[in-house]
Amino acid sequence: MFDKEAKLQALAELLEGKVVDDTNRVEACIKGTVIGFPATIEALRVSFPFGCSFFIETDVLNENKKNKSSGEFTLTISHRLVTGFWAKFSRILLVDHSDKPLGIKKFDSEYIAQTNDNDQALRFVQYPSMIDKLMLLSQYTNFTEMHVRSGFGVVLVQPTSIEKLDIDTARETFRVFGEIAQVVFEAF
Amino acid sequence: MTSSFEAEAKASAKVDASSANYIYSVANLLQRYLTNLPSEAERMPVLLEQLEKTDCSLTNRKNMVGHLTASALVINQSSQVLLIHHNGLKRWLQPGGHLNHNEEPESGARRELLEETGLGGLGEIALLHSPHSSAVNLISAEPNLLPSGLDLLPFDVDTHDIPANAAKSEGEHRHHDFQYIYQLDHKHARPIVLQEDEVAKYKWVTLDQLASGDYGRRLSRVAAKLRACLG
Repeated sequence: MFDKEAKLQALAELLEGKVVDDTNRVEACIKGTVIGFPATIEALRVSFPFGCSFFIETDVLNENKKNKSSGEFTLTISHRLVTGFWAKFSRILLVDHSDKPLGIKKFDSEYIAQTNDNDQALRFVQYPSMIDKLMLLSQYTNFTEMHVRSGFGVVLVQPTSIEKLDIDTARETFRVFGEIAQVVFEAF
Repeated sequence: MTSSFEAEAKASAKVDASSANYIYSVANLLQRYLTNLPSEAERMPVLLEQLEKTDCSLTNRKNMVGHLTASALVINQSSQVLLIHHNGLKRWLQPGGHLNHNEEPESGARRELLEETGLGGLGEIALLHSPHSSAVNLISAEPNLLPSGLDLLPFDVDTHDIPANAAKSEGEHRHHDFQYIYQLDHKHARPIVLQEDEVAKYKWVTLDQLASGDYGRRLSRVAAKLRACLG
């Protein structure tokens, strides 16, 4: 039997935070911190078929909320549906996206990127050990999408429900995700 | 993605794998949509409940709790949108209709557009990707209207009531509509050919007209989103 309150509390402890009542919008909302950044776990519903999303805010100085259009860099990364030889054919058949590859083979073979600034996206992906971090996140969560927004933060949309979310996996996910947030905070 | 899904699908033994997979994909689409537009979750408690209950008849039009539909809003180079006059409902609406069994919403929107207007051939229309990706709205608390091209996220999701229709022996029910926006390519678009048994006429309206409320609250909201997106 799934003990929802206990699971939410365990996740709150992981974020050194608390369970927040936002039931008009989502069934589960946990707010805390990861390496000093505000972090959130949210789920529309706590069980299958709903996953949950992880957020880390990097706008800790609150500088960007008022001036959000000042040349911000955005990047969305998702998994390529088909990899390797078949990727070309899947693009022809329109079962995969035809977005322009970034030109980094290790990245392009696994992921699709959508960005408003190709140079910054390239810099982000080529940032030391970034691809390794992305692959770790893939391994831990099989995320559907990861959003990066300079001056604001990072979001990970992943398919495992709160009910099935393993606490140790969530802890490791936030460790890696926090490192990515740190890069966004310091370098973008 | 599959490992988590498979484990959870197995746990839900009452549904077959393809239906569970479909419901999972719709839930995932909705999760991504609402992650970026969190305030809209308040408008769709019934759909969320149906998904939570793994309602396998989500695409069955006899499901009176609510079933999925998809619609297509076509926008031309003058930023006007295409509306059709629906014979049955006697209202101006965007092209759209019921989904086939386990049909992906975007495929359904294209199919309905093609059936009702003849538009949608290769090169005639291009999907205007959802403005929602990259939004991080929980952080910004404001809509972010940067275009995104990552996946077939709907531009708008809406649940609305449909009145009973004695002629079709249908009771009152709900439609959960996934709406997509398509840009018309004038160079390649063929003339509009209406499906006469369902559609009486068509017209192009400006975003101001769409926003006026004359065409319903939903299209008014979509007009506001579109205006912000198109600048």
